[in-house]
Amino acid sequence: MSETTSTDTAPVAKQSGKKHPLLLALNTPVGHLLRGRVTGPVHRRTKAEPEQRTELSAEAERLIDRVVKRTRLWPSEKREVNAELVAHFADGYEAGHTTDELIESFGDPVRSAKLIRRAKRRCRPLWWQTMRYGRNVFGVFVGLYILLAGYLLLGENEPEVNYLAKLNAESRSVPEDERAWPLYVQAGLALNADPLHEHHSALGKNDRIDELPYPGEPGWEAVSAYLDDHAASLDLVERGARKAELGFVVGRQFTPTECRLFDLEVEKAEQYAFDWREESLVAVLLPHLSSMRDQHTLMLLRARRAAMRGGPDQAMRSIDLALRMAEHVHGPFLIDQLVAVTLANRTFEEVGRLIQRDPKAFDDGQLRNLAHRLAAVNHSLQLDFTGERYFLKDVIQRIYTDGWLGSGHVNLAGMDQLLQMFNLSQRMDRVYDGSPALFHAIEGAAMPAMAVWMAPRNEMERKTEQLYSKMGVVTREPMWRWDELWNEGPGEVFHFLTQSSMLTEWRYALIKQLMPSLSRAAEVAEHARAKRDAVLVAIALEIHRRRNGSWPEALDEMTPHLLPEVPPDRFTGEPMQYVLRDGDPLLYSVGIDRDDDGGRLPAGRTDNSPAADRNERARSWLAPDRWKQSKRDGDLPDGDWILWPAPEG
Amino acid sequence: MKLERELMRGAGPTAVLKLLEPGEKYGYELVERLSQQTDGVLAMGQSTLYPMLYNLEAKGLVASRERKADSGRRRRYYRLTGKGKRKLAKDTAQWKRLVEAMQGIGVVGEPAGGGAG
Repeated sequence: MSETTSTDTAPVAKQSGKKHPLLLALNTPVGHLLRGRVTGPVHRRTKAEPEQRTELSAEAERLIDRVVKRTRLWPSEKREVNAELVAHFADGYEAGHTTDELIESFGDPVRSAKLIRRAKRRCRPLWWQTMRYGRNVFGVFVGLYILLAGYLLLGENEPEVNYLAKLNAESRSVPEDERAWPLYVQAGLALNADPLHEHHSALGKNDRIDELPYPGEPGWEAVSAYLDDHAASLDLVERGARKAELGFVVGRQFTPTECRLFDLEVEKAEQYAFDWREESLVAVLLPHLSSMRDQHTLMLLRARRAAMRGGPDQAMRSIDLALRMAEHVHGPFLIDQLVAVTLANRTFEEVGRLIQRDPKAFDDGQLRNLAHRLAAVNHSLQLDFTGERYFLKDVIQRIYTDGWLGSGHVNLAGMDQLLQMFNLSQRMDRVYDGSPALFHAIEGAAMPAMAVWMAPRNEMERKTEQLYSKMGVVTREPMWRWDELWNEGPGEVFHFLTQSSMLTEWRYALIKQLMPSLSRAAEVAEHARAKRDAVLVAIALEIHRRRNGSWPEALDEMTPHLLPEVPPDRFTGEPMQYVLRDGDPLLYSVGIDRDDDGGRLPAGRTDNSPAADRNERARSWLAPDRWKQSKRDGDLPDGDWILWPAPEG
Repeated sequence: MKLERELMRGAGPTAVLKLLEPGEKYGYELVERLSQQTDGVLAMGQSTLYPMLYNLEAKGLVASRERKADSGRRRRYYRLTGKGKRKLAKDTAQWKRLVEAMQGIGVVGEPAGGGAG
């Protein structure tokens, strides 16, 4: 509201007359320009103009100077206040009052300065008021943040449950001489000294069993010689496979012998260790899986050689032991359960290939026994998420404080552990050039914000249980029921993991980071069941052909004397599909498009996609909403999933 | 007799607004009039008046400008704004009701010639 006629009153203007606006701006202090005020050079003195000052006594002038100085206002404001007070005194003199009277009536100069400052600041422009308000709010926020940081720094995160011990309880309870693992270790050490892939240039490392040669094919002689050379080691593997329990103790503390097997020096093993990870599930390494896979491959090669060289009993025994090895591998973690499924599936596929390549390798009784053995495989194909649930709970108890009524928070030590777990510390160290103090300062400053948005301990634990419980549907129910049950649990988890809002994603970042794709894992187990079922049907077909001289027209011709029932198509729950093509049987599922294409593979992603890739496309399950979308878009692979015999080309 | 601070806090701004109603005035003039026209009851020193004027200005009830008086002296003159006029009317009505209420319970006597209307 002030309508100051600055041309009359501004000290510069008074001294130098009117100046060009540009000149005035050039002479204005930067601070004033930033405030949007073109004042020209600031007169150092904020006192009134000389002609007015001369009217005042020295005492009055000192009083005014004192008040004006104490207001600590902007220079321009001080000048205004000063001019007004000087004018007031001058008017007082003119009215006949003395300096003493005027000073007495003035009031308390300190209080006056305070009130003037407060009132003048209220007159300041809106932008200044806004900035002041914002600064105050920011100050309050910083204060609260510091208090919160102090609170969050407090609290211990002492793990209460030794989940590793819980998971190892069963293995530890197996007497040493009843454990399979020591025998696998001995065999593995001997085999590692002379690995199969170094025996023949055609054999690449980690070759899959289905890519290794059969008798009569190039490279087979080398494989056969290898099996002979390492017969003693393979006998050890067989002895191990006959044991009831594996007895492998998971963790990160291995014996020197185990370290040699895993090609893991003790010093090297220490690199994997974090200070906090003693007895932690994060510290768990599962290096035995690789060795078990290699030995399982050799067991199947033994079965292959025996079956195709007239030794069906030995072949049957090796197949049985290969399936036992799969059961041995089956542990509490999803990863070893998936390896167990893979080993069982490879065994099913090997049996399927043997029946296809040499149908007469086994007599009817042996085929029936084989079928019964395969049908009995159940445990190896089961998935449960015990290890994964324990894993998340273990991480939670190590990064969260105990908290009041379970509402613990992530403290500095916990955050540090979290960063180490994701190997972020090493990355950060590089960023901060090895300055841990700076890193920890930044970490400490960011921690309250992170701890605030991260769900409290009890909520995180509840969510973990809830999600794993909901996903249980895909492990309990066959794949053809997933669609109808999707919205009862798995769909919610799928939505949570893939489509949740950024806020939810941040809140449950721990789960989002650590929870594996459970539906994909369950799908792998379903694929193995389908393969097993197809091999059972293939065995029945072979027996039927031997008895009748021809293949059946339909699979139900073989029930119930050769098959208790026709196994289900895993995609529909309807009987498995069967067709005679060029006089030979073909077993298949309608595949992801749920449409019978007569046993035809879908097109590949490229023109020369191998048959295995095309078959893979046909069997990849899609969540209902994505399936509908793909159907609308015409993206669903149009073809069937061939189960037996394996498609070639 | 001077008013206690709390009473002065309520009465002072209304008094200043009232004095500005006829036309613009400068600070010393307001001090003098407040003292003379209220027999010193509402007298206030510079330490009170100027912060009060700045507050009224911040609230948009008064506006100020600096100009040279006939004597050649530069002074800051204050005048009522439209908002100030409305505020004065509202405060005046409230003060009247307050005085009537005080009269009703005998705190304040009947004005001379009261009841003629």
